[in-house]
Amino acid sequence: MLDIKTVEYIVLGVIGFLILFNVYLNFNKIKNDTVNVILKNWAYSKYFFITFIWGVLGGHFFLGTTTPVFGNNWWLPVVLVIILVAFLVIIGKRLNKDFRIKRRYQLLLLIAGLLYGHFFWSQRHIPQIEFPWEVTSIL
Amino acid sequence: MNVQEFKTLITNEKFVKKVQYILIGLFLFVLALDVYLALDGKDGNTVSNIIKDKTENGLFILTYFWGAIAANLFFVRFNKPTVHGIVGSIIVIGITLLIAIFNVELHTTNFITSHEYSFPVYFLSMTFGLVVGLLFWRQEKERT
Repeated sequence: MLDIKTVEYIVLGVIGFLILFNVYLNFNKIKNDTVNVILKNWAYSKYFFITFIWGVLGGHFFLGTTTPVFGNNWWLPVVLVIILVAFLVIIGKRLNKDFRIKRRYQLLLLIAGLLYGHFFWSQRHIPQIEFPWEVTSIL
Repeated sequence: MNVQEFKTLITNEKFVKKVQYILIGLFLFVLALDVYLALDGKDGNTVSNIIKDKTENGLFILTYFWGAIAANLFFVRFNKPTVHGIVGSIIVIGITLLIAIFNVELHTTNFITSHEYSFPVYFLSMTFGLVVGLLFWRQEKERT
């Protein structure tokens, strides 16, 4: 079992590794091999789900409503986001190799992800939420 | 294109492929770790929880970087850059240092609570990062 401190070190280690690796890639002989360029090229071609995920994670990590749409069913937004991303990946896979997404659709994907992370997959909700449409309390 | 140029092109492509695999590997590692942490029966130790707690303990900067990186990765520019790439990076990091030195998070949070706004603080820093990134830290449209 991993405790919180260990996980913190792992997260910091991954971020630190990425930064150092990117500095190295920036100054080595080969051009256009930095993490930024690779991710940008992915996000602008078949793998535009990256933009959506970036938005979802932003909303999930940093925002979040106190009363998320699905209430106490914590697993529902997780399953739904997996389905949504799988859907985006499948669409991307079927596209032409030379496909390039327009910049305005990137904005749309980012905002859609952010709204999803905020309203559907919130971490900041109060422990027990009672919704007017939850019939279990009446039964 | 002569033979030498062609050879370098091929080695470059191979190298970029390797970097791509490293990135995918890292992503899968974090994903697998988080699934394990979510299911190990211990509360509050997933990557999400840690990032959430960290930001509540004063990492306004992380959210600022979320915006700046989003601008860098997803919003390419079609025109000439406002400033040179390295100057842009220096500006982005310089603002980070200013946020840290002047304790911007504390002041913003105090302002919001004292005015009784119910408004997420981190939305401000995320938007701020996005704006700074859009101004100074965008990539070119196509560099293949």
